[in-house]
Amino acid sequence: MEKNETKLKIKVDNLDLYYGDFQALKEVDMDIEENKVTALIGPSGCGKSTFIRTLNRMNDLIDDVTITGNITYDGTDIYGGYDVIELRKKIGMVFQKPNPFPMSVYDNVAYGPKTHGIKNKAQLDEIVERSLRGAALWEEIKDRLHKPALGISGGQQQRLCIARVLAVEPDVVLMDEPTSALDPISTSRIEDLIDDLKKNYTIVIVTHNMQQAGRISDSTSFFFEGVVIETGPTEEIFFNPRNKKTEDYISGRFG
Amino acid sequence: MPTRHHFQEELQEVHNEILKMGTMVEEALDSALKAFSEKQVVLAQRVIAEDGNIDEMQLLIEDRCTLIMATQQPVATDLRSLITAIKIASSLERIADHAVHLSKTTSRLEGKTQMDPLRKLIVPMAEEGISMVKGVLTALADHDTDKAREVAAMDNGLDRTHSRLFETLVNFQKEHPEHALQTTDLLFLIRFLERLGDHVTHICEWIILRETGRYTELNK
Repeated sequence: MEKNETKLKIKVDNLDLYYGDFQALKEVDMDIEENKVTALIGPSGCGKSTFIRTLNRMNDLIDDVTITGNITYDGTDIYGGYDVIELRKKIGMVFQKPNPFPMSVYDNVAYGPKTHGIKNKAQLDEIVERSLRGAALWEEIKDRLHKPALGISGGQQQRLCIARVLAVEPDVVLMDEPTSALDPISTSRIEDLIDDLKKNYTIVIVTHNMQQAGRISDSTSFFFEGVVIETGPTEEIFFNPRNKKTEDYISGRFG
Repeated sequence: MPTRHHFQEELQEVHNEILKMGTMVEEALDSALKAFSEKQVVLAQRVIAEDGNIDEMQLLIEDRCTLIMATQQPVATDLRSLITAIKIASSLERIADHAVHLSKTTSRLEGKTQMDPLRKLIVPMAEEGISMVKGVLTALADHDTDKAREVAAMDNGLDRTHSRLFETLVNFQKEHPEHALQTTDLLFLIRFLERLGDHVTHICEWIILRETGRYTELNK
């Protein structure tokens, strides 16, 4: 059912992040809407990857990080006593380079559910099939489920990593440059997949590919030197951005 | 340091070609009007003969813009400038067609001295239209949206002139049914001149879209 009203999934308020003395994010505010694709763009070092990692607390793993401000997920403060394991189950992540575990395709997908206590073989089979279908990989891979995941193509590996995220039934999928290591056909497959996934999930994607942000996202935020310079509906950002820096960046005229 | 020098040069070339086409159209109109008011049939025929160059220019601009869009994936101002270049080239081509209409009328009225008084009445309307064209070319060259609005506002005056002349011509036709053919020719001509103002107004709208990213309907 088509709904016009949008629901806020993640709300970021006045977020500052420091690596030691270096301030990587400055007063970032962002509203991430449910069942939408939000693209984060900006030059290298602008803070977009740092930002996306704050959304499921991946920065907790780095020493000397200080975070102030507020991030709420479905209205709950994720830095205020939220169980991190639970958070990362709800908010999954796909990385730039496909990183399947050195095990079979099947075991890659079943790994998460097993960790969360599912032992029943039939149930795991069902989860594996559903997740691989969800990642548009099932038809290609169903006869090779027990082959090593590292033996399949890069594009298939990336979809496998998406299937691995879907297997734990997340709510939000974060993607940090998910196609930058892929060829154009594999990239198109992932982009089509993202378009399908947003029916059931909220997606946040970091991309260096402007056209990709234009093609797949509903909303785009432009980061520069740790600051969100401009956020808006993607069609506005790409047709009529308000800020000169945004315009220079998206049109490839960045100094 | 700015990047994409080659792309920037390509965009600049499109802009220059639009201005060049604009100058060709302006010259065609000036010659057509001179031919009309001074009864210079040879000059009128030259305007008709040279219209093909303007058509070619339009195709060249369209091709160039299409190629840039296909190869450079322009966005924002770059994209708007290319889309509007195609639109503007198309409007300029139609304006040039009106220079041809004016010239054809000049040829057909050759020797029809009875029409001289009406011809004199139409000259100021053509001048009015041509001054709109000159104004829009300035706005185009200077990326000037205020000027574009100012030029578009002149269209109301042209419409009023058209209504007034229409009445005059219809009355003349009633009084001189023997000149019905020539008068009808002039009725068409003033209609074409009125349309010229509409094409100029469209160009004003494209200029505003190019510069601001907003569609604005002028002279609704």
